[in-house]
Amino acid sequence: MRRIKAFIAYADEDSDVGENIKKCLERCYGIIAFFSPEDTWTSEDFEEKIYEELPTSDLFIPLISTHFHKSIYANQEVGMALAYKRSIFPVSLDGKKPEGFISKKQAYPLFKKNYDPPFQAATAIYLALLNSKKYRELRAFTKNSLVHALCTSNDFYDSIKIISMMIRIKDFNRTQLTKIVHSIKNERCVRDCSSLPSLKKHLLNTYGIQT
Amino acid sequence: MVSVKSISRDEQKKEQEKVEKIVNETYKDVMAFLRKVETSEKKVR
Repeated sequence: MRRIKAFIAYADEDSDVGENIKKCLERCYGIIAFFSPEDTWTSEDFEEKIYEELPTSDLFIPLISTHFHKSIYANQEVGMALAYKRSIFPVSLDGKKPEGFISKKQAYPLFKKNYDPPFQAATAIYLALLNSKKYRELRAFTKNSLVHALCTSNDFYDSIKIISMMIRIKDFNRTQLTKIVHSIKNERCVRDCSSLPSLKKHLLNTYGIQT
Repeated sequence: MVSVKSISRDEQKKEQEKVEKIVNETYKDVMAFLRKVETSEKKVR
């Protein structure tokens, strides 16, 4: 199943929050998130990996901040994203607005959130992918990503987050539903999760599937 | 094999309530944000 690929651009000073957003995108929403230091620092050439990952990403997420505006790499990545015509979803970490060629774009204001900001950022990104007309062509892959997260969940807290999003979606296709039902039967962190009754109810009421 | 950390039902329920609240609030927030983005993009055009 093809999933959403996201590229997170950030300044080094914001790497902690960036890394946590990446983890939430991957674990709670099944999005393949590229975040350069962790993913490239040790082995492959850093610049080459960016040339490889950025043009093939579905969504470019710049983490806008005071540090971001000063980061040469982060700003050059913005230029690449524009040149490769990637969809851009800016997130503002400290109230700073996007500048330069993306100055007309609005940034999602993460700095106003005080409970688990990385999870809130990942949730906002996922909900935008699911609901914005701009990302309509990515909708099937957005849902594939969530199904993948459920199928691979090995943490009860993650399963709770995945299910709370899953029960909002009313148009999973047959393949996706088959995988969801398989997870309910076979994955411990889904089978024994406190949210499972609400998922079962959703499957029955929306799709007529008894599990 | 991946080891799974066991969590009591009570703890799970508490987390579930928190998560549902965050997702509901973020949904309202994001929808308002997307409307704002659409309006500003129309103005630019």
